[in-house]
Amino acid sequence: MALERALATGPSASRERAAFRLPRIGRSQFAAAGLLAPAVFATIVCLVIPLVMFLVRGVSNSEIVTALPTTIQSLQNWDGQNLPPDETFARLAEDLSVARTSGKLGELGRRMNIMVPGFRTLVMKTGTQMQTVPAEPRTALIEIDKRWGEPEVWQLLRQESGRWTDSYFLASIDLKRTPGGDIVQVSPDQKIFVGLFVRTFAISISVTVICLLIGYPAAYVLASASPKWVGLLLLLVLLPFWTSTLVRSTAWIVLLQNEGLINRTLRALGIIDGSLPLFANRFAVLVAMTHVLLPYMIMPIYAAMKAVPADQMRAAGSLGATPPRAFRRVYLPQTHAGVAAGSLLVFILALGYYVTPAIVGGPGDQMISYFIALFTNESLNWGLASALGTLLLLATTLFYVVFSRFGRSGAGAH
Amino acid sequence: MGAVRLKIACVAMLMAGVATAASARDLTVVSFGGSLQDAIRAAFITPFVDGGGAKVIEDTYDGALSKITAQVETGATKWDVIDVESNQLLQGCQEGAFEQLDHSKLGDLSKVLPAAKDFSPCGVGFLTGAQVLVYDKAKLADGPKTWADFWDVKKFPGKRGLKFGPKNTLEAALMADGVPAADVYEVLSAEGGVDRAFKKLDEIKSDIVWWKLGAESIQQLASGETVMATAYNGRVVAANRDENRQFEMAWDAGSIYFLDYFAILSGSEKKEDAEKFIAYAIGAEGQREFPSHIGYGPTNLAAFEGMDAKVSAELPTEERLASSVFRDDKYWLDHNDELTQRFNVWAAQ
Repeated sequence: MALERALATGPSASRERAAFRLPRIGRSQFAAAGLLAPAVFATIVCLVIPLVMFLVRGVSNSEIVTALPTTIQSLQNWDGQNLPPDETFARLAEDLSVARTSGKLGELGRRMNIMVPGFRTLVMKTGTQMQTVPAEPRTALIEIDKRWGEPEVWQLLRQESGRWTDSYFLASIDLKRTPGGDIVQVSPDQKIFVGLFVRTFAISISVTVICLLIGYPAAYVLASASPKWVGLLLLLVLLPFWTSTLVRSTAWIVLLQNEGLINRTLRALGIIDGSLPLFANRFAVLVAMTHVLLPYMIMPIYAAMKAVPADQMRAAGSLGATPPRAFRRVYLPQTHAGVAAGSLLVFILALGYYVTPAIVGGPGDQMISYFIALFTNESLNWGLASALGTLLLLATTLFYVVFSRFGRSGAGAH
Repeated sequence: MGAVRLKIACVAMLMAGVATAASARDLTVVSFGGSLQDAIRAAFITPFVDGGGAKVIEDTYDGALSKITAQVETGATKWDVIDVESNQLLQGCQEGAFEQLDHSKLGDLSKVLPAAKDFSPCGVGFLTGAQVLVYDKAKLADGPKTWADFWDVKKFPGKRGLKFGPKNTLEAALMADGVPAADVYEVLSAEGGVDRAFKKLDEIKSDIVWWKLGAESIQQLASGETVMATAYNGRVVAANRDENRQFEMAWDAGSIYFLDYFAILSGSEKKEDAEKFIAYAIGAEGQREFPSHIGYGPTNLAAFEGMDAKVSAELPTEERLASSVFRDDKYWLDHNDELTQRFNVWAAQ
């Protein structure tokens, strides 16, 4: 009885559910919590804590603070005009010498290279020559590399001397700080991330809509198929899951290229003369991503459709509704939850895809995750990777909140 | 109580047993998989093990430095010898991910290329590879000879294949603009050098077909998608051999060559065996055997003595390397991020 009430849908059911009371906490509840505890613990340790650590990287400036402690302190007393006093040069020489022996030089070089390209070599070159602190640090340092004689270098160093930095988040939206401290746009030939975010969302939304348009009818066929055919149809939907994504994406290369199977066949049949541009463009990206993500749309909608009683459409017809009206007023609203779940799943998965667009797309189809992967794996610029990832996470959470409201309001609307 | 204590003791012994078994692991050699790893196995690992060296197990990875630094940082190193590309070797060495190599333990290095032994204290080069100008001789009997020809769409109409990204592509553009191979990086790092390269690329932008994976450039040439392209010489040799292609490499144009290096993971417990393995890999015997399995060249010039002439005809020999550009990964380590962003902005316009 309680179970039936909990599973019932429809307007009266929600009113009844509101009146449904939980039993008092008893021993069975403690046992249930005990069984759940390992899962909660694992989630906290293996997901939440690493996630927080990663997010912190987006604002962390620990490399400079650990490698150049006395230099940073000395720079606080500098007024920012011309060059800092001799004492600061001496502190820098000392800090670099310590960093060289403690093995922190590479990390510092990497961090400073993010500030200005070329600074990695500056740090490595200067640091490796700091076996002993020179007698005249200012002249010695400038002799090793004349960049130490430029005020901008020292101003940037002073700017980035805090434990925390906003440079990664600024960079992730194409902004930067001048040596004077103002926030400006980066130069036009470096401006890429805002456009990438817009493009990533545009592609993901397009793929979601296409998957919905194809997936809804497919799920309907699946849900209303006779038991004889359901097995085979389900197999056809799930079969792509059993092939690697990379293999499927590369298969599209063979099909879609100018000299690929499709163009050659069309030419052989005499339908076209040259080649259709099917590859290395947005079309190819949408096709390949839809191919990969379609099962994720079909399955939740199929599950929602299976829950709709088969005789409701007939009942609506007997009450005077035309088939389109019956579909719109009776069938469609009950599949809202499935549509919302499938769309959300496809959208979130599409946001994170970069291998497929990289393989089949053109230069104008790169997605943001490509750069997140580049910064994580190759350049080890985890600060910028984290900042970009955090923005993506925030946007995704926002969409989730909006979508889940849509799903809930859709189900309880009548 | 007795039964519980017994159970706890059993579990503890089992765990101790598992732990000791895990620490007594074999020398692990890691590379990129595929035909390169097959060649390393055939030319280095198998003869090394057969000749009395330590037992070797293999692993593969995709080249991401993060996988190496993660192991070193957590102290859970399970790899010993790693095949690294030059930019990862530089960066990893700077950040303490690799051991400093003792050259005295690596055998006779007198005929080894300077680029192999002096590039970094943390690694030794064991193969030379190059991105070369390639065309299909079956379709173009009189093909391009220089990078200027690559840029000449009137003389050789058709699409060109170039690697998507600033590396190698900017160098090729400068060479097409008349910069001699020896001066490419000087010009590139000087004021206006990068702008000059991008301006040159603008000239053929609409005729470029970008490739990202090594196999793609070969496949585009084979299917006729492109009429000429840059490609890795090892793959060209493999395509000619296995698929009966007639791809011709224009070595005289000047290629952009690079080395792969063997490095030892910092904190590896098999350091001695790792050094013996590397010594074998850059010894004349191993180096002579290697190119017959994959079209990359040796770094130990002693390997050319006694090598099959048919094999050495396809390799980056000393003369061919002399007219080529050694990819300067110190420059790229500084500028890769910035130029990759700029390249993406440029390419999308």
